[in-house]
Amino acid sequence: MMSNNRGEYASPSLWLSALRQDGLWLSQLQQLQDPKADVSALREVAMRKIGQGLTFEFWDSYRHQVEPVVMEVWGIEELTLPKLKIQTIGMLSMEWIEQQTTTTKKTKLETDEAKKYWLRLEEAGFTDANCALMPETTRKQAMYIAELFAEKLGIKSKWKIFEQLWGISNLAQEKWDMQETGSTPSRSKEIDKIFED
Amino acid sequence: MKHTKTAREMLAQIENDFFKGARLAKAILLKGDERRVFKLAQVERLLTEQHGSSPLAMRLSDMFWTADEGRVQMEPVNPLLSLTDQQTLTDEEMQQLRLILEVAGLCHDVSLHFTFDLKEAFGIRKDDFWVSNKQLVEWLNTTAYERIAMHTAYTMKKFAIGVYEYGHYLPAQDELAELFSLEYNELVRMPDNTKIPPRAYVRTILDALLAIERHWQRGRRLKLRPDLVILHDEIYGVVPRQFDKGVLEAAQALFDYMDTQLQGRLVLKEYNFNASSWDEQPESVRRTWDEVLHRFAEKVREVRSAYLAEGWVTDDSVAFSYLMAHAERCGQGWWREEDDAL
Repeated sequence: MMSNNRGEYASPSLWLSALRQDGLWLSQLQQLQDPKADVSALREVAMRKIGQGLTFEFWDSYRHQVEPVVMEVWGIEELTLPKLKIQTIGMLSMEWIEQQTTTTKKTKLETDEAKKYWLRLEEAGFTDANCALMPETTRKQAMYIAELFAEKLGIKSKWKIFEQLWGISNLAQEKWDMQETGSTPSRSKEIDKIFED
Repeated sequence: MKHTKTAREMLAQIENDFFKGARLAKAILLKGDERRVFKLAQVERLLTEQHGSSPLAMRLSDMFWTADEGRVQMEPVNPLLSLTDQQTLTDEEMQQLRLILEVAGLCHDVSLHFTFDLKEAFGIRKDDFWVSNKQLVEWLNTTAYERIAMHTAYTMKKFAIGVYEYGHYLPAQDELAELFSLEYNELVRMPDNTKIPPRAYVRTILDALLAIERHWQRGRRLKLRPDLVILHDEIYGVVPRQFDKGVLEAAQALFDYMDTQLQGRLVLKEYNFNASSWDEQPESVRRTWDEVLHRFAEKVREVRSAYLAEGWVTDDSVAFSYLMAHAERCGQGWWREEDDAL
């Protein structure tokens, strides 16, 4: 059972490591891993744990990364450790749920249907054999590919998964720009053809 | 390192940058309440006017002191704070400097949320930042100096958090740390970083402080021991606005267990005070700790089924976590220390 005394931990990282080994988090993890678990109910419980206070604001601004949030809140020292513990379990639960969702989506990109499109994209020179973007593929083309890919495979929240896969950001902004200017990316007709049928 | 400016040049620069149009030359003659009112008006203005992302009040304070509590001089030391350099100023300039330092000192304490002399600053008899200071509460609710009121209310919140932290009253500490305005759907952040209007901002903080204070007054009237009040509130996971009979019974059951079975059980002679992490504690310490706290957790579960409705004090709740922290402190000997106050 981990101590609630800040003095027992030389740093917030050590506290977080101890929490990851703590019985309370491990039992929470077991619930999350249960194949019969109701994910939306677990998500709701996790969000309630995080609350709507300072921790939530940091969690939101650090784009759901747990460690920097803990560092920030630890530094302010106004919040008690028992409360931060429960909030952090909420954040760790959300991290787990989000990772699982991303993994599920990623597997969609490995189906036979997906492989067919990846091969065509590679032949056309947009991506390489590892599904990575070629240097000459523009951000606008990447957005266009992600959009059509997601449509074909029924992937929701497509930007996040393709941003992670290709290591780029703000694809949604590219889409918005395209809608604003009304111009499609170069070679868009070729991309349309790749995703035909 | 020394400032390149002389004291006279520095004084002229400060007057130009911070007090243009304030008629300092006339104000130096003011005394008593008139002088106090002049200073408040200046501080209010300096808290309102921005320079970049921070208010002018903070910049004025930075001309002399660091952001630490008290008066730690900024390096290089401002020539206006050097006795040798001050001797180069005329009597009138020295009077202006005195007034500027009084304003800057208040700017420092108010904008950085340190407690200050309330009598000197606001003319309030009782020098106490606690919400029971009725004159202070009235001043904050009615003053025309709204920015000062916001910062002072925030200082009261910060001060109360410190007191509750020291008293291990976790639900109150957390309520104030993450104080949320339902009316404005916004966390009560520092005054320079909020969209809540000044009056509502002050009211939100004072209401929260008063609610906790009144809860304790009720507890005292009911002659409840402080640890019992805290246990009651920990079961709620927040500071409730009333005492519930059933919850009090549950709290009493835990109180009795802690009083007889837990108090001091974690004061272990093998405990290594030099250990930098929990893993460095001797195995016997960690084992005893685990056993004692596991037994307490079992007791909480037992009390939960005997006295509380379903959904209360679940193992993964803040309430349970508060109780475990309380047990840890009790085991270490922090127990019934305030009973004498009853």
